[in-house]
Amino acid sequence: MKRLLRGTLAVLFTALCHSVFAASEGPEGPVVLTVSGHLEQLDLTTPARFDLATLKQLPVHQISTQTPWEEGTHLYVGFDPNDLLAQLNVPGDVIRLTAFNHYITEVPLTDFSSHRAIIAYAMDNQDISIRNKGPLMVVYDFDQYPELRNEAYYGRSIWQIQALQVLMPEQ
Amino acid sequence: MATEQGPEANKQRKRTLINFLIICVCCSSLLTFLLIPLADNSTRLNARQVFDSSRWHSLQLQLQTYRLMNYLSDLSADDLPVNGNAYFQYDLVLSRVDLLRKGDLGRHIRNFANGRATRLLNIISGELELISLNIEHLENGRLDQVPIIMERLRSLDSQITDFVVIVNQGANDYVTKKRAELDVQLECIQFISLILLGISAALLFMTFKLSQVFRQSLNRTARLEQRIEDILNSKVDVISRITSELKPAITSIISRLSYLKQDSAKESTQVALERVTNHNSQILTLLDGYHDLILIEANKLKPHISEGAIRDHLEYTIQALEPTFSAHNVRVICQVDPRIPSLVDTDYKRLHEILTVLLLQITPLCVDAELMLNIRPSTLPILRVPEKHNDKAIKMVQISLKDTGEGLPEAIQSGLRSNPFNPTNTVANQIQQMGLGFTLCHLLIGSLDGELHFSTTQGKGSEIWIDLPMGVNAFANRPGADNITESIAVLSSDTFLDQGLEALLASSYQVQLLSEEQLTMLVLNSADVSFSWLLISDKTTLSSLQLEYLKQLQRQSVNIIWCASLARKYPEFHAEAVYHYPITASQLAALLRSQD
Repeated sequence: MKRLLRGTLAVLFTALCHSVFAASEGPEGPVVLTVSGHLEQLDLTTPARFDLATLKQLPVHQISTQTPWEEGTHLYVGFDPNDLLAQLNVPGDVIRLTAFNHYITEVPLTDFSSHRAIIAYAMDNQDISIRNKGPLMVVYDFDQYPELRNEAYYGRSIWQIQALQVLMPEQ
Repeated sequence: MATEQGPEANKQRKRTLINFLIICVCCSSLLTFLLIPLADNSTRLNARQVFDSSRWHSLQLQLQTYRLMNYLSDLSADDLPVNGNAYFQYDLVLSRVDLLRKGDLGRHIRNFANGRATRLLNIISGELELISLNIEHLENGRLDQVPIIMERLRSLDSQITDFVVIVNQGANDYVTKKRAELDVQLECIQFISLILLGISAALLFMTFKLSQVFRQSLNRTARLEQRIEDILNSKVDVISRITSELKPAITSIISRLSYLKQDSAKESTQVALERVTNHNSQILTLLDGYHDLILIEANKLKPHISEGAIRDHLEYTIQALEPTFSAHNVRVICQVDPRIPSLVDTDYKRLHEILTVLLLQITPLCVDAELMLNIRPSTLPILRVPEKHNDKAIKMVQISLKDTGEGLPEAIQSGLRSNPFNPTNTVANQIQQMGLGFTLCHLLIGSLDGELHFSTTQGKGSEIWIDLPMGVNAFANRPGADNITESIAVLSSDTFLDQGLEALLASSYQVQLLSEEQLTMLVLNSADVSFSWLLISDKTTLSSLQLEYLKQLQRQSVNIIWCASLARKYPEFHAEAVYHYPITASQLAALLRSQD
C-alpha cells in the first residue's frame, strides 16, 4: 500500500515538473515571465518563457496585507520563485527582476523563504491588470513584518515584472 | 565632618540631598519621555516615500508618455494588427497616473502648490482617457489614428512637464520644511541632552561627595568597633581580676564555715553558719555570673565540652540547691528520660551554671509548689552545629522545668521573648528588665547554640524548655513493659506530684496510682496485693484509720516509703523507707533497694 502511494506521488510530481518544463519549450498563452540564467541543465540556449496558466500550477501562496501603493488591505495570491527554480533545477541565491518600464531590482531568494514574500499574480482573487501594476508583482507581508517597512524593501517591491534572471552570489 | 555640625544640620543636609535627588530623577524622567516622541517623529519624517517617490513616479509618467509616443511613431502598416500592444503601452502610462492619484503618494501630492499639481494630474488623466478611443481604433487596424494620438500627446507634453516641475518643487519645499522641523527637533534633543549631561554631572559630583562621606563613616565605624572591642577586653580583664582575687577568699570562708559548723553543737549557731555559707555561695555564683556575662558580651566565652554522666551531673546540681528548695518548701523531682544515654558530651560547667541560676530564680516563685526537672530528647532541629568534642553525633536535648508556682512575671516574660543578642537589646537593659539570673541564663543558652522557650499562666505555674545541642551517640529505646517485673503503688493525691513520681518510677517499676477508696477497699476485702511498695507523698493527709490500713498492708509484706515530713508528722508509724526532697532516681533506687 505504501509502495503504491509512493509511486502515485512520484508520478504526480513528474507530471507537474513535465508541465513546467513543457512551458519552457513554448507556452500556450501570452508570455508573462521570462526566466534566464544557469539554464544549462535544461539544455536551453534561450531563456525559459512562462504564461500565467503555467505559473498558476506552482504551489500557491497568499498574503493579506497593506501596501503604500494601495488603499486598505488586499489579498494577494502568487508563487514562491524558489519553487519555480527548484522545479527548473536552477541554482541561485539572488534574482534580478525587470519591470516593463525597465526598472530593475535584485531580491535575495531568502526574502521569499524567511519573510514569506511572493510574486503575486492575483489581487483580491482577480488577475492583476497592467494598469493595476500587473500581471506580476513582488509583495511583502508588511503587516506581519513591520520591520520591512523601509526603503530597501519598498525598492524590492517591484511590479509589472516581465523578466527574472537568476544570479549566483559572485555575480 | 558630619559629626562636628550637630544632628540638626545633618538632618537638614539629608533632607536637601533627598529633595535634590527627587528633582534630578523627576527631571531625567520628564526629559527622557520628551525624547521618545521627538525621536519617533524624526523616524517618520525621514521616511523615503514621503517626499522621494513623488519625484520618481512623476518622472516615470513623463518617461512612459515618451515611450508611448516612441512606440506610435515607429508603427507602420507591417505592424498591424498590433495585437494588444497599443493597449499595453497605453496601460503602462495610465498605471503611473493611477499610482500618482492613489494611496499615500496621492494624498501627499494633493498638497503641492496649493492643489495645482492635482488639477494638472486630473487634466492629464482626462486627456489620456480621451485617447483610449483612438487606441481602440488603432487596435482595430486603423493606422490613421496614430497622428491624432501623437498630436494629443504632444499637446499634453507641456502639462506633464509642468506637473513634473511642480511635483519637484513641491517635494523640495516639503523636504526643506521637514528638514527645518528636524533641525528644530535636533536642537531640542541637543538642549535636552545638555540638561541630562548637567544632571549626570551633578549626580556624579554628589556620588563622589557621598562616597567620601561613606568612606569616612566606614573608617569611623571601624575605629568605634575597635574601641568597643578594647573596652570589652578591659572589662573582661577587670572582672576576671576581681573574680580571681575574690573567689579564693570566699571559697576559703565557705570551707572555714563548714568546719565551724561541724564543730558547733549549738543548733542556732549551725543555722546561722548555714545561712552565711549560703550567702557566700550566692556571692560566688554572682561573681561567676558577671564574669560569664562579660565574656559573652566580649564574645570570648568558649564552651569546654567534655564527656560525662549527665544523670549524675543533674542530680548533683539539684542536690546542691536542696537548702534553697527546702527554704521555700518546693517539692522538686528530677527525672532523666531513659532514652538519654548515660554518657553525653556537653559543657557541664555551663549547664550546671544555667540550671543553678535558673532554679534559684524560679524557686521563689514556687513556694509550697511542685517543680519537675526533666531531661529528654528534643524535637527541635539544630540551627547552628557547635564544635564537636569527639565522634559523637550532635543532637538536640531538651531540659524541661515545669512548676505549679505563681508563674513568671510580665517583665521576665517580655525579657525572655526578646533576642538576647540583638544589638539594641543591651545586657544592661536585660539585667534591668529581668535581673542578672535570667539574663545570664538567656545569654549562656544562646552562646551554647541553644534555645529557651517558655509557657506560663499566672497563678498556675510555668514551664521552661531549654534545648541544647549535645554530643549523643544515639537515643536509646524506651524499656519495654515486659522487662519490668516489680511493681509499686503511689497513693494518689490528685496533684502534679503524682505525675512526677509516676514518671520517675516508670523506667524501673510498674507503677499504679492508688486512690484512698481503692486503698480502703483493698484492705477491707483482704484482697491479694499486686505491689511490693506503696509510696506516699506529703500531699496526702492520712487519718488514723488509714494509718491502720497501712499497718495491715505492712503485714501483707508491702513496704511503705513516704516523705520525711510525714515521718515527722506521724512518729508512731514506722515506714520502711523515708525520702527527702529533691527526689532523684538515685535516691529512690537506693531506698527501694535497701529493703530487697
